[in-house]
Amino acid sequence: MIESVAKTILLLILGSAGGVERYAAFQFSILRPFPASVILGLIFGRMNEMLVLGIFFEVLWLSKLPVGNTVPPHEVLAFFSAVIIYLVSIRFGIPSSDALSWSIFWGIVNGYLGKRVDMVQREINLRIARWIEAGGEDEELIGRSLYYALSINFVVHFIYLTAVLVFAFPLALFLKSLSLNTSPGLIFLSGIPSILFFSYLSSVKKQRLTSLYILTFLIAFFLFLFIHWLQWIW
Amino acid sequence: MDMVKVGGILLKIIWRSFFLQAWWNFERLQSIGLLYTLLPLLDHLYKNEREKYFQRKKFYEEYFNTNPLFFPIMLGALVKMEMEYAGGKIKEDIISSFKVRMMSTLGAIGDTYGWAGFRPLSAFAGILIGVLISPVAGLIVFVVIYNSFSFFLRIRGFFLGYRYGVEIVDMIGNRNPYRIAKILFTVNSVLSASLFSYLIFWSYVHQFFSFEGVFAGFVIGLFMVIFPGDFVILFYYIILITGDRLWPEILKM
Repeated sequence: MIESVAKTILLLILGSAGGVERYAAFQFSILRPFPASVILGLIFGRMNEMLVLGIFFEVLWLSKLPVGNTVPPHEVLAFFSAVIIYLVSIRFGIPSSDALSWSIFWGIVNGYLGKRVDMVQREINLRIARWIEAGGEDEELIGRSLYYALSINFVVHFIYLTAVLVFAFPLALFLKSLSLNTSPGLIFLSGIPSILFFSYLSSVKKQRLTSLYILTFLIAFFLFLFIHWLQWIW
Repeated sequence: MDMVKVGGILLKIIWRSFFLQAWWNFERLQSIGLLYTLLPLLDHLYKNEREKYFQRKKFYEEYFNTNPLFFPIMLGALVKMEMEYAGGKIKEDIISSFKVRMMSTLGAIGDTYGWAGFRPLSAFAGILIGVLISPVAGLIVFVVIYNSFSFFLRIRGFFLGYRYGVEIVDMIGNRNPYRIAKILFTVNSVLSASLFSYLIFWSYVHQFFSFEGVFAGFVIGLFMVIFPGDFVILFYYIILITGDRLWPEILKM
């Protein structure tokens, strides 16, 4: 378990609700990776680590749009899977930076597996649609099917995240057996802003704003460097 | 028509519009969502004409797909047109062509504004506030920016559509929605570039920093531009994990 049974269940419920809210209902974006990372930071008390995961998965696939039939990677499942793996890993005594970089790695994998979860859900929705059709598209039947569609969506995400939790224990044991030093974790984490910079570049390129984007990055970089230098002098 | 009853039906329709994509599937896309949203109206209009009710239901079962954020604008117009159709003021062809035309137009505008415009804007603004001021303030900024845009469209958009009916097509056509989108993209570029450069300092302050990491991130980022796809990051990981003893040697060279 992660910290306590209640917190583990809460984490799984939030992740599953995030999966439903992301696409099927409301779309208020309250449980997208960044806002969810702040909420989980308040619950689990590791705000900086949660923010690293939240910011990474919030930005990584921003340029992949859910246009038409396109199914982008599932950033909510990716984020919650990464959080589960991170929290289990640190319980096994793996250094925080290593646990973070490994959880990001598995988070990306889960983001792509999450596309499959979306496909499964759409297949289930098709069956529900056919069931409604067979029932003569009665208003009461459609109303009832809404609860079925949303409940199944929630359960599918819940089962997936529970499987990630179960898988996280042998994974953490395996990672511990590798006995890595902290340098790979730190190296990867420092590379995150640069990776995000380039991942959003494809979106900026489509909008023909590449030069403005690069110029702003450089100006901001030297400005922050200057401010940091001033603070150091002070 | 009883205004109180119509008001109640409109509120019910707005509430139901939040579930447009609950049945989304590759065969019928959002058609059941649209039908579910309009059922209270059809029930009200054709209460005493069951045959007409089933005929109208069949009409809304056809293929339907648009952007869920911009959908209420179209929904409002469809409600008005359906009322006019029930009163014999317009023909079915007008509703049919309006539906086909608007779902693709609003789909394109919605993807540009919603997914490529406001979602990144709220994310970048929220994250910047989150790392500069406080995470909770960032969370509030993120949720408020995104949802004020979303709720504006869902509520105001619905009533705009309801007010103008079929004329909403001209209203959208007379404006240049892509001009505002261009401003939005520019703001996003500036915000995102500032955020990524600040995150380097943030990682330094919170001891997640190494020069090798920033360098490696840039190299892998460049690779991502040349070979688009996240597999590059996974490949990068494998190199990092397997080569944690190689890295210092490579950097010494």
